[in-house]
Amino acid sequence: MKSTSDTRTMIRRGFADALPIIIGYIPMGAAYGILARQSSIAFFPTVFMSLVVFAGASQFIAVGLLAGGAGAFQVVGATLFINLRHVLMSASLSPFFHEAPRRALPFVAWGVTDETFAISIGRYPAGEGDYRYALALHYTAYVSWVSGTIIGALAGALVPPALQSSLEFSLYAMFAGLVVLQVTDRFHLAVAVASAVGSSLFFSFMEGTWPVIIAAILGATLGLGLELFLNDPGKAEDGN
Amino acid sequence: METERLIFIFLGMWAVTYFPRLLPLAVLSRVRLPRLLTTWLSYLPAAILSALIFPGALVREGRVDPWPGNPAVWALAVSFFVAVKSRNLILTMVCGGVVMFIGQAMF
Repeated sequence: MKSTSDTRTMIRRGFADALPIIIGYIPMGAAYGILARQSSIAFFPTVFMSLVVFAGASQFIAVGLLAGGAGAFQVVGATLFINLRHVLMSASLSPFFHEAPRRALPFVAWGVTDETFAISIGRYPAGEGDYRYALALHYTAYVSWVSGTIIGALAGALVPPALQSSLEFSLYAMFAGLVVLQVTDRFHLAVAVASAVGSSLFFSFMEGTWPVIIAAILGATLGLGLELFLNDPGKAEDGN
Repeated sequence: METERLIFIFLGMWAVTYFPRLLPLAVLSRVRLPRLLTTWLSYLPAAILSALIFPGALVREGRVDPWPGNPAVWALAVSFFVAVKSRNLILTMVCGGVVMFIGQAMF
């Protein structure tokens, strides 16, 4: 059985690992809050979206789509496609939650984001993280995201435009950091480059986030193809 | 914008955000995905993130501007450099944001 001191260690580690996420989420949540208010979304719905959605990229994109007059189907559809990557993250996490109480899983899953996943996935294989660690990490991230949103939605008008667009840019810098962490071999590099080129080409004649979705599907398919046809047969068949 | 309509849309976003996070974690301890699908999924994060950055980060006034006159070009180059060297997300974000801020003051 796990002891109380274990619980304390796990929760403390979750809080400690959340620090870089807090530093990133408060300005990013604020940037979202500012952007939403400027796109004539009222204070309450601005904060409500952070409370119920808690997904940085899709919230920014949803605001952009809504400001461009998009309908509910387009916004929800884009959100679904953007967040389908969480299926993979959630799947990668699942082996480490066999022993977690089943009732904890819905609460753990709520906080699976690019950042919490990227930071925590190194902890679980070594046994340095479990559901208590995940809950501490995920909910600290959640609170900082919602707090950032409230700050941005309230104080948006006070932030100089140059600082604001720098804060918004830090979302892309974060993606750059995450994609670098993803590129672990030449196949992933090829996938990243091909997806970037594809998305840029599609951008000239496709609407909304379709360039991203189609380029990403083609890019991942390229990765699968490379692995099937170029990897040595022994490696390709070692799984099941 | 109309609050009731927004709330309705955000609840839709909640559903399509939460269930992709929940279902694999809750179900996958029992079900095993075909290997082709897991391999395909393993390339999806790199593909999505890369497709989000290019051209998203380089869009100005609705057009892709990949030339040195766009401060985002410099900020993105620095972001990638810092990310490769440090593998630190927060440092990458801070450096990218600072270069963007300085670049906007200069151009």
